Amino acid sequence: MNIPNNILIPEVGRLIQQGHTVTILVKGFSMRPFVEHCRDKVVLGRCLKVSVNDVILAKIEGGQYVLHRVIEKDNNRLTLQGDGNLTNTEHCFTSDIVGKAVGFIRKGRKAADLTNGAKWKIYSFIWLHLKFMHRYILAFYSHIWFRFIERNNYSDES
Amino acid sequence: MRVKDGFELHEICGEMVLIAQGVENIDFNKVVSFNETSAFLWKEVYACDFTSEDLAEKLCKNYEVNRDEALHDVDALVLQWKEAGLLV
Repeated sequence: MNIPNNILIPEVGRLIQQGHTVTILVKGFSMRPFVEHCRDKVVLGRCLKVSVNDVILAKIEGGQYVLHRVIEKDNNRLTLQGDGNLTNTEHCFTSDIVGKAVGFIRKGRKAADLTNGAKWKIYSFIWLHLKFMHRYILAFYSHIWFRFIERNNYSDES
Repeated sequence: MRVKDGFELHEICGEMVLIAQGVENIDFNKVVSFNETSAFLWKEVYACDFTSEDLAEKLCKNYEVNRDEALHDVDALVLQWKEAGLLV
């Protein structure tokens, strides 16, 4: 189903509030290199507590929805940044959170890499501590790794 | 034949979407989207035994369509429902 985000995501939020987890396809490149556009899916659950480094789906200023990592929390005000974004940040309030990523289903696998699991934690730790290298890693990933190796394995549905 | 129990029709973006009831995780990549006619037929035969002829009859009663066309469309729909695992 190809439904615009402004209609799909409130429905996703409603289902999450009912106690479901919801799996949707990730669209966009801003969570590279771990989460790839139209290849990976995110499993979202209710966000009872938000902490720095959590990945959340939220409505940001301007009404757009993003699935980004919380990089700063100041009471109820959150600053978000996609792992694949070098400088851009967004802001929202905790009340704008639709759901929190509880896992990512990557590369067509059946099981999710849970965000409270070792793999995601190690990835997050490494990624967040290599900030000075992001520009080069992302350039290598986009221009070499993804273009010549991964792209052939997955179709782009957008 | 019969439609499987445990599904609920939701309206999203003007489209009727079938979602499994009571499942913990709802995968939007696996939901089945229904148009108005198939949603109508689903509701009509939910929890009943039915045949393709029954569906065609319901189509003829509610839409301006002749029996042959209705049977043709219903056969295609039943095939889709079977492939999606919605029938028992």
